[in-house]
Amino acid sequence: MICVSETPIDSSAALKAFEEEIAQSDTSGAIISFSGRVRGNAASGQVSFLKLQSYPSMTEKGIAEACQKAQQTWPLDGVHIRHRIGEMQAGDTIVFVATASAHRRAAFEAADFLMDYLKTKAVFWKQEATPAGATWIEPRAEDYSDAARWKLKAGTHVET
Amino acid sequence: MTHFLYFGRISDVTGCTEEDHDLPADVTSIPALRHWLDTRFGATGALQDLSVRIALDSQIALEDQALSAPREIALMPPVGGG
Repeated sequence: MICVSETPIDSSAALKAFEEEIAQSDTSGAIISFSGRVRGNAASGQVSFLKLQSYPSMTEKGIAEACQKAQQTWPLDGVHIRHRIGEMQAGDTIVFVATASAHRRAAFEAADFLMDYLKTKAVFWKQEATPAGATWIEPRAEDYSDAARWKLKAGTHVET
Repeated sequence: MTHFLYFGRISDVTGCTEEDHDLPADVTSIPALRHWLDTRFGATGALQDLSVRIALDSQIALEDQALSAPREIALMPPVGGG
């Protein structure tokens, strides 16, 4: 399930819904969830708001392709991605990713891979407003190096 | 009439995030489109920077691709990540 929306994300409710969906299968021994939140501090001061733009037709297609790649690489029983767009405040949940698999390693790695996709390649434009003004943010060097790890690892996961 | 979308920092250059505008008859290539938009908005080359990708009807266009009456043209600077 993929949902990109201005509606606030309730991580607990999203995880519960995912667990209920996965409960129908008794093969999933591992469920991993990740929640990303808007940080209140930036290099240029306190963040008053964060604004995320998407290009709906391309954003959702790209996320769907990343999910498909994850499902081809790891034996997943389910994937759930929620991403917030629009204006957000510090502390708001901006992204929720959950994966389920028979074993934990595949679920951890797939969630990690999907987050790296969302941080560097997903079609979003991010504007951060602080008392110093509003600036458009691009991925950090660390985000790119995190995402680059998967070129080596895709298809070579280890069952644990 | 073509629908134009200006994302991220490009909207600071164009002063709007979207608009409807006629595409001039002589704008038949991607470089011509970039040049026309850049001149129109006085962008001093910002819209001719190849890091700003052009999407035609939600498909990323190649620089040598012909412009065949798209309904929607999007100018996409490098993405910022979620």
